Amino acid sequence: MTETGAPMAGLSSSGVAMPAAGTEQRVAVRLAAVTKRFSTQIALHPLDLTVSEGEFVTLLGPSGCGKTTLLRIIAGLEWPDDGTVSIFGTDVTDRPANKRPVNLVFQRVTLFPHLTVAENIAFGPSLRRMKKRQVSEKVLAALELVRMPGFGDRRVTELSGGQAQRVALARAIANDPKVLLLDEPLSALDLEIRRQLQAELKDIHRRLGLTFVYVTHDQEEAMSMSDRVVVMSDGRIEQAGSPVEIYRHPRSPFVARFLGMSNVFEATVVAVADGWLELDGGSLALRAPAPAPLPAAGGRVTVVIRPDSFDVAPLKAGENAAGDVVGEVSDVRFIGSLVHYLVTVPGRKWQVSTRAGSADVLAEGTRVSLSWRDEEVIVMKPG
Amino acid sequence: MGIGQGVLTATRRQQTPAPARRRWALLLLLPLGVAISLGFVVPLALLFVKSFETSLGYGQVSGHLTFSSYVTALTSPLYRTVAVNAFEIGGIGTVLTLVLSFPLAYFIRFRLRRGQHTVLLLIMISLFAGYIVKIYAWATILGTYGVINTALQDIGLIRHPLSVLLFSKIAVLIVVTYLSIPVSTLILVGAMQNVDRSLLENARDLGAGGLRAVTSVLVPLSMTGIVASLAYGFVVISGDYITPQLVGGTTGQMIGVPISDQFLSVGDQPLGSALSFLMLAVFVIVYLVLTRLERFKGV
Amino acid sequence: MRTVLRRLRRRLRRRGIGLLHVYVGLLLLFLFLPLAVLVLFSFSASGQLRFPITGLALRWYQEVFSSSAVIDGILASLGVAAVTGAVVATVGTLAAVAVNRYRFRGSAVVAGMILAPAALPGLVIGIALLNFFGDIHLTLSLLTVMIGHVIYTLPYFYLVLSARLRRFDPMLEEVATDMGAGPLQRFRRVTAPLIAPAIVASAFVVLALSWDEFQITFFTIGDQSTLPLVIWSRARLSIDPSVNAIGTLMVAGSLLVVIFTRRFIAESYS
Repeated sequence: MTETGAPMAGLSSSGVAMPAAGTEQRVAVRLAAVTKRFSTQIALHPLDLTVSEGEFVTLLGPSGCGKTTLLRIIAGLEWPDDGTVSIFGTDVTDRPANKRPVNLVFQRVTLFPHLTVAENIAFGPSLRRMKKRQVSEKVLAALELVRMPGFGDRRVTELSGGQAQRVALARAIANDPKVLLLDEPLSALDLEIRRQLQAELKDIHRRLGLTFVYVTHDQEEAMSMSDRVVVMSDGRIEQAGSPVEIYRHPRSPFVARFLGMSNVFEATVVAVADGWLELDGGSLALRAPAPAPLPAAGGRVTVVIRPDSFDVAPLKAGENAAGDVVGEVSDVRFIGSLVHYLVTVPGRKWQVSTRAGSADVLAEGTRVSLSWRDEEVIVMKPG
Repeated sequence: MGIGQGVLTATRRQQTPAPARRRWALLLLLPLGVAISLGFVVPLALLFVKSFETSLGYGQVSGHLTFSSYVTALTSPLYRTVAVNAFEIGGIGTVLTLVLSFPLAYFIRFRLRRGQHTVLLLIMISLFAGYIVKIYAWATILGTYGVINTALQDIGLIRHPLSVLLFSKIAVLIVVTYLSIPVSTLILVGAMQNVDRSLLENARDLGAGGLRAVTSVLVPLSMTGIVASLAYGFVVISGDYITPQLVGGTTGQMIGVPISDQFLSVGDQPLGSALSFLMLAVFVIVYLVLTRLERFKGV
Repeated sequence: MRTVLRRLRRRLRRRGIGLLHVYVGLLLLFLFLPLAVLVLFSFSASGQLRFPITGLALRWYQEVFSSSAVIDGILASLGVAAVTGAVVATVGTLAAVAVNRYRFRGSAVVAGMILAPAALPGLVIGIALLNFFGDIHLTLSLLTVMIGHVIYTLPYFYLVLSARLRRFDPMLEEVATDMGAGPLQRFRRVTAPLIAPAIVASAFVVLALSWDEFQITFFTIGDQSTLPLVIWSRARLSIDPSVNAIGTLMVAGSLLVVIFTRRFIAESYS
């Protein structure tokens, strides 16, 4: 039995905050039919979203998809035109931001420049007129949590970007929110610091068992940190699920492309049998596991083959393919741990990613054969 | 969630209702409105009315309204001379001020890093050393036994002191330009703050030589500051009625002097008012021309 | 000749000194030359304002400090500046905040009206006020001087404060709300502390402008004189070297004030 969701007296590092199997998790945030319009544009179409207690949920999408708007609606800094917002069962739709038990870590550094680090962190608690000693205990605990002990007396202007965001995080956490909202807090930081903070955020989430709602446009970041990813586009939720689920089974071309799989193409269903589809992809014949609901024979479907699903084998001159498709390498990008090839096959160009390993990096112009497992072909509804 | 309920909740909560916001704003502006109307609009209106009254001398007027003051103002050769003087010195002075302060402003904004503040403060100090005092100091410098004359004589360039330096149009021009440079510099620096340093570097990178980069990039982008400096300078210089009295002599008189005289000693206030409003009319024309200039060259 | 100049230029450029530097140096020299002359002659023993200076003495300063007219003038100027500063700071802050925060139709018109007095020469404002006071039978006094100063300095206060307000980050108030602060708490703990330095800096501009103001004061003054008017009466009548002493004191005064208040005038939290 966990103690997630209870207000924190100090900040204890409890154990892993995963609910025991079979226990009912409470719903931390429930959005129902939330809509938002900005003058003539529709920012959010009516959408529903449920976040469970203790979850780390990420809203992922390109700029302008509405993810930040949605987050700010949860925070109370924007009002929805329709729909309701509830936090742990209480309807907070009509409550302004200062009366909601949630806190937001902003994208830009928004520390109060006229206060020290400690005063910034103490801001929330000090509003509630806690005793001075309690407040300073909280501040110290928060600073420990974000790994900045001793920074209390520093001036805000002296901090680096990474340090400032840590203090912003500490400030939000010290306020004992029931849900922590984070609006792309790491996007302005260097890669190394970003990676570091991602790991620390995940760690803090685990230690506190606090519900996190995170917003980002960086799919790697989303996938690596979240329990659940909600992919958004144009004010709508495209797909929601665990990172593995979304990656293995993207349900729309948008989601596929956004997650980096650009081998998206259309095919006609030739035959349906035994849970498999025979497909005609133009210059290509393939098999794929049949999705539910079953598409009809003769219908058009959208197919995705993930770049990492391929096996690449160079062909010697004149040799023919033992695998499925023959193509030619038209672009090579060596990233370090991975190699990305652009392979021209009949009718299209495919992105192929392989581990570099100790094998030679193939040169441009190499004839290669591509093979893959039929199970890895993903079929989505068209459109 | 029914549609009806949605509509109800939507109307119930608004961020801060727009009408209440406007009401707050108007309330805040009330004291200002009172101050400006009483202290500025009403006096100006009354002055305008005064310009149509008939003068009875010694500050007295009759209720009879007439255009005669304006006629006198426009036809008298005396007033014409000093008016032309004023606008001439105003025009040349403000352009000269702009030309002199622009490089200084550029230097402060783009070439100084840590020193920016000190130099700006120094300029502000020079501003507040006392208006009369500064004119007086120039009278000392330009005078027959002043710095310039004694220096030139000592070097041997001239044998007799130049009397044209003081009590002349040139003297007035020098002094008013001197008085305007600090303010002009501050205005220009302010306008330049909004110009990104990298824009100039970019221009240089694309091939524009130093001066070319400045004229083709900086000037258009700081046009608001340039126009402000020109407008402000022209108004302040043309309307100066002290400098001509102290260093103008007979040739350097400007329109401000007779205007102030009417209200101090002579007592033909309608004439003074008429002259003032004619001067303001010229200012309006100059403003219009300058704003046209801004749109022509500017962003 | 040309090669000499070129060689000189090269040597200077190596030290980072270009044509611009020379120009700026000369211009700053030009700006401070009269002030230097001022200071110099204030210590001159003779009453003549001519070169060369014969001897040094403090007699002009003695004269100034013992003159009740000057002392009264200083006090009057200080008083007028202080009251003007207070009035303008109050009215101007309300106005600047109103225009900055609330978007309403006609805000541009309001801004235009606030700035209007700056578009006129002091002469016109002065005579308009003189005429006005005559019409309403208000005796000229330091009060009428103050009215003139308020009208004169209001636009400048507004300009400086508006510019600073624009740099205020509105997200900080959102953060405060998110932390749980109600509107009053938000104002007290975040908005006010951040706006205060801007108001102080703008108020200093008002004080400085009022202190030095002459062209409007000339028409609205009654029996009492402010310092600029005292100077005027002395400079007008004859060649009076005590003017130099007063001028030097004014420069010294503004220098001191600027040094002591640098922290406020500087852009805090930039």
